[in-house]
Amino acid sequence: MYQYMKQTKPILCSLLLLLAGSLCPTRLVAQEPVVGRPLVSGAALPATLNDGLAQLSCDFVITPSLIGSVNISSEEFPDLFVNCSSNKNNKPVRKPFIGCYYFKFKELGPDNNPIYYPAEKVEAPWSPENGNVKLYRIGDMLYAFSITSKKLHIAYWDETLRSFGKEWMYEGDVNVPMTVVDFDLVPQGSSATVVLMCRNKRSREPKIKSPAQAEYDSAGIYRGDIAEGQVLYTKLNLVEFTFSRFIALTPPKAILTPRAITAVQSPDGALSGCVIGNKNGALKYIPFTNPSAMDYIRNESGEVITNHCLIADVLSLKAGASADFFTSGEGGMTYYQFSGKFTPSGAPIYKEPKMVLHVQNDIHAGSLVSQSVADWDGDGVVDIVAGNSAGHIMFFKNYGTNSLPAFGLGEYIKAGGRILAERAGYYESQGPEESAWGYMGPTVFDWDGNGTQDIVYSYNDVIYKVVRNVGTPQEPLLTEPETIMIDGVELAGVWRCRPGLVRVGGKVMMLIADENEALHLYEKSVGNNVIDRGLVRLKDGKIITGHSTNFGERHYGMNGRKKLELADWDGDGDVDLLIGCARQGSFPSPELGLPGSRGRGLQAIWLENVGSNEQMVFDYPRQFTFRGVPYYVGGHETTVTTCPFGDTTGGVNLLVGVECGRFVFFEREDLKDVSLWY
Amino acid sequence: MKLHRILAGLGLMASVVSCTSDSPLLVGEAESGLKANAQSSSPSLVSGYFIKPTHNADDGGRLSSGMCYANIVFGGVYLDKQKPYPTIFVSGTGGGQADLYLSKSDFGPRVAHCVGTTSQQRPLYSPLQKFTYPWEKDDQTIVVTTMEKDVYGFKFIRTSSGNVGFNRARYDVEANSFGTTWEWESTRQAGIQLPKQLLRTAVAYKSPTQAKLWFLCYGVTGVSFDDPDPSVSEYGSDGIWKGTIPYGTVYCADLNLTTLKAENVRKVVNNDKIIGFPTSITDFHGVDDQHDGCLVVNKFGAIKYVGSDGTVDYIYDTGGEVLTNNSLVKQICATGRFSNNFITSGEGQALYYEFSGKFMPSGGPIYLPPKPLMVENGDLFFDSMPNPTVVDWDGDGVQDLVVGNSPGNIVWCKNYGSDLNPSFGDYEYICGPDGKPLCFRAGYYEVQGPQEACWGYIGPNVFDWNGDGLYDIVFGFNDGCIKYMLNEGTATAPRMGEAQDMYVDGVQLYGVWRQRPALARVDGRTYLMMFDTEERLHLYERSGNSTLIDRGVIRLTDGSVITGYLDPSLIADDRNYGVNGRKKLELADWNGDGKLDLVIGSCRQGSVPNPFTGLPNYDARGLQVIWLENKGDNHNFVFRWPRRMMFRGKHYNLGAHENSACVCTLGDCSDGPNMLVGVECGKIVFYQHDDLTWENDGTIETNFSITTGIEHDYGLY
Repeated sequence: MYQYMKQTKPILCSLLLLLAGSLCPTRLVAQEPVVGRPLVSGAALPATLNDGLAQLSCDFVITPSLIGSVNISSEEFPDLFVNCSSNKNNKPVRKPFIGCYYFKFKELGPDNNPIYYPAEKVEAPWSPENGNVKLYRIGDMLYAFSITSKKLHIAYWDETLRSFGKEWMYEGDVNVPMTVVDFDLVPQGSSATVVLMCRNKRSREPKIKSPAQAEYDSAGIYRGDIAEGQVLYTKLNLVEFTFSRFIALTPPKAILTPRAITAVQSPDGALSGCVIGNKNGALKYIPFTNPSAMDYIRNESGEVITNHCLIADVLSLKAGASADFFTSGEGGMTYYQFSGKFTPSGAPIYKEPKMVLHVQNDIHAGSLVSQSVADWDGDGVVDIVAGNSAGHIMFFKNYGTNSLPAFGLGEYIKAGGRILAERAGYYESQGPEESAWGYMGPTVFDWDGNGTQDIVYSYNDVIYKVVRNVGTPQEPLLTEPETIMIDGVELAGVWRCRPGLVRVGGKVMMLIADENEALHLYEKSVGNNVIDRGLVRLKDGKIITGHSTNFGERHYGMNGRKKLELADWDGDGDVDLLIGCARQGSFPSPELGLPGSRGRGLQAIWLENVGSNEQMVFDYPRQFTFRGVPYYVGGHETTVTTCPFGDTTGGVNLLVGVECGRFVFFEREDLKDVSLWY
Repeated sequence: MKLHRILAGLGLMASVVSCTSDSPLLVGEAESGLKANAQSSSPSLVSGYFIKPTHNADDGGRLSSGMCYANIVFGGVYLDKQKPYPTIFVSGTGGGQADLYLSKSDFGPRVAHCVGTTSQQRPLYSPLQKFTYPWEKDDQTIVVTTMEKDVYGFKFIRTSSGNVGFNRARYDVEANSFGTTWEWESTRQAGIQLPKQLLRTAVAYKSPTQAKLWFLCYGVTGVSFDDPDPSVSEYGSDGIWKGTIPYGTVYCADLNLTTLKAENVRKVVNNDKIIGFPTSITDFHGVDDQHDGCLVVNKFGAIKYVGSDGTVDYIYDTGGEVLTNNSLVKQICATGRFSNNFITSGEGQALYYEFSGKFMPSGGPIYLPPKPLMVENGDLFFDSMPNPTVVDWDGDGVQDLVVGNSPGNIVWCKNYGSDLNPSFGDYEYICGPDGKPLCFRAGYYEVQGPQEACWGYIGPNVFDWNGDGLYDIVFGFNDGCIKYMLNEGTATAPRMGEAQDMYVDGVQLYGVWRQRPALARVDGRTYLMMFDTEERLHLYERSGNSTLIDRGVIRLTDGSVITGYLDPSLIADDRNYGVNGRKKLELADWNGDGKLDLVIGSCRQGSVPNPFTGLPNYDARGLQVIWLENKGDNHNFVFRWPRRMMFRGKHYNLGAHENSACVCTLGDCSDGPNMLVGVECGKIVFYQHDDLTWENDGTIETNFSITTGIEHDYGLY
């Protein structure tokens, strides 16, 4: 019986999947074996192919904020400026990546992907967290404008110093009637048209009786409010820096969860308006001359385009003088090129969007990556298969060897003939504004025992699914997602987890964090059914839970997020348990556990199996430190797996997937255990 | 062919009618003014009655129990060993409160005898007959089984101290009676001491002196979540249900048939969690004194074999896959003595499972594909809560029925006749892209908790969503989201693609649960109408397949918004918002003025257009179908105050959970389009246009007495 279990996190529309598939250039993949570079312990895995080409990113920053697209080094294509804010201060191991950064344009790739050089830091007077900053070339000068509801700030670029200075050149008062989320300027001589994305209805989290209460009522309806946005426009006098009155370009509810706006203009003027974007990846075009004709942008098949990840910024390539634009968000930066055409209803048609890349980069899989290290393509060399927060799974082929791996750009994995994508949808632990998140946690494993690699995963939900390989080891062909069941109901645990899987004596054992966030063992039965084999315990008989009672959050959204890996860490022949989690994780008990009780550090722990593979019994957990010091890679979640990369003469090494989208490699000799019980 | 239909009790037709091809009109029809089909000798459509399958009429209709939405087969015995299938004892549960003139207001236990097989080799039964019994009409714990020569009904009772006794009554075949009193009662202690709470019992004859008792007990007692505040979800902020799941475990005992004392009470498997959400148990006799044990089933249709040797395994199909039951299973019942065959039943069809004689290496028994039980002269039956749409599904120029139901299937009935004189056969499943029947279920997250995970409540609207000339399906279900499936085949061979979500600004389109959206294409623009998250009537316009533009809420002529929920203070017995939603919308020009009106099928607790004086407003009297006349135009909908549907000026209650109305051009449409209403018992009622009258305002009559409704002995069922 075909079962579409009502998923609280439904599969995204085909357009989103099509979009994701078009992002990565396919002609930049290596065809010949590549010699990898020696890995650096404590550093992210580098991209090796094509001069280290990978999607544009900023160190351990999850979402760089795109603030400027300006032709400085080249007239062919603009350079980029981004704001970065990272609190991952791990001195002396790593410096924080905070401030304004400049990406110089290198070239357009063969698939039309914009490629940049690595970032350079530039001085700027604004806070790294200030997202309401944009850069404009007016005449010969490059200016930075910041417009909020109350203030206008202006700074200018000093080419000699390569700096915007330490202080604003100008500060004035503004009185925008609503909260300004974003803005854009179209300079026109001594004045500029200003469009503002305003929030006229705030997000409102519902009242709760306790952290246990859901944000949804008993009918499944969200009890809070979803933010709504309205577009205003005005004129700015560029001499006296005064605004005309603010006029509504759209009705009050132009878009939900508003985030960004940019003005677009084609050379022939046929396209003249603004593009707005929101948290959920929606992109709408509003023509200036007929704003009531607002509609979604389309692809060349006429279908609505949704950005592959949530949108933080939308920015025209050239202020008010380009029909093309960038988006940036948690998951990367994307380039949209106008086709010059419209649908019969007047919606603009854009070509296949392209991921923005830069060289000398680390491999990058989006954000909040959760990896599996396995030979995915049956060539005898171990690859990386990683889920991300946008709800995709990416495959990074290893073109080198296990000891000297060589990675390039990732490819989106397909299942059922289309790119696999899982999103929360309306019902999401933290409210529908987070509906665009997927939080994929995949484990590559031969689930059905047919000799090919499958993927078992959980995601932004409490259930587990599998996509089975019905192709060959060299040419995986994955089925549509199938739900794992017990007694006719979905196997459920806490959300955002990754299952641990191992085959023991021909039996497939699956370890999850169950509904009570206790480590729970199941045995695969026939098909996708499992049998309950009970809780796993410590050597003293106590059960093992992962939540903390002292996390200080308003709800249980900080629970879950447990990434389990069953692997032999200590080389004694029995599988141990490695766990990556969020900052507040607390194993084995809420009152005293790791990593939560130790404060910030690497959210990666391991529990030694002191029983056997058939009867797993675990020792108290130990936390990894890097050369004896805490190594904080981000609080949202962490995935830790063993890997055969680098020098493995002393045993397998460690790979940690982190929130910024990178994979940090650790040689085992650099990892020192810390325990609370010994 | 002869078609027997009892139509008595109306004062309209008072005799059994035998129709042949030579007598096109039903006796008494002229007096009634009924517009029966003049061309048809066996009308499928009769105004005010359930639709009957008239194609291959000898195959009957699927087993159903009057106006009840669940059928419980609690006994299968071979009174006639020459018959291929056993005599069955059936009881209807749930609903059954109707005063519809063709249905009795309640439905007690019935018996049906096998008369053979259908053309598809399905079990075929005589119409259900009443019999005399000593137990409570609504008792769902009764087990009927065969002993040495006799048939007995058992009722097992566990006291709070753990003692279990039973009552027993013998079935007199000739008198068709279990008597009016028990022949053996539990006060004569059977000597059964069970440490766990008893859920269900099975009794199996083993020898002239011994029977086997199987006890399905709660190994882990579940706890329902209960908070009087309807704003509190059953799920925590982590998405985990706040109740606890009940699990079943199994005990057994040997019953001395001479002394009627039980001996050797024992736990079969040392596991208190054999099956979650357990519902029923029956005997599995085994093969050659091996593999004996029992079968347990749960709400979700999971069926497990529990062997006396401690084996616990699912049952399997002949392909080696776990065999689950698609219906919402309340009962499993072995058939006959020494049998490994069984019948499942519940909210949905009753299915017969035949054992293959083989086992999996893991120990689970293998069964042949199950067969639905059919009843002579049965109605078209769609499990429960059908939501019909009338369209030409197979492109042959004649309109068919496409129906969603509460298990989450979408099925269709081919019309072998004409639009004027339809002749429907039994339904077939519409399949998904993998070739398997569509089944949309709630899963773990369900408004009323995971114990309802197997409900789908699918409300499909068949419509050319993407304008390519092929019928697609747009639907709501046990959720608040609206989805669609495109037809990736042809007009004559539809092939459904994957279900896709709809979005507004990247946020999934969501409203109240269990809806059927209304759809219309006007001047090239496609509109979708539904109740939004605040249960306001809301209009959207299609932009792309998956993307809609918000066109705002819809209003009455006085400018007020139109909501669908009843004020909570007026709901006597419902703690949560699960009584909201459930609206089935249909845009159609009912009164022929060229404007699309809105017809809404609701549940009893609905209240359109406001929470206080709307319709049906918890009024249990009548049909929960209302009509909002369009006083605007087909792009700018403005509706008149709703009017409530009546049949020939009277109220008839067809059940409280849901009514699903569909305007159609089946039958004689000379006076305007007709209407089908899917009702909770799983059937669809046909209404001739002019037989429907409309209550003119929103007030509730206070002088109507339910006892003035005409009762009819629904003896067929």
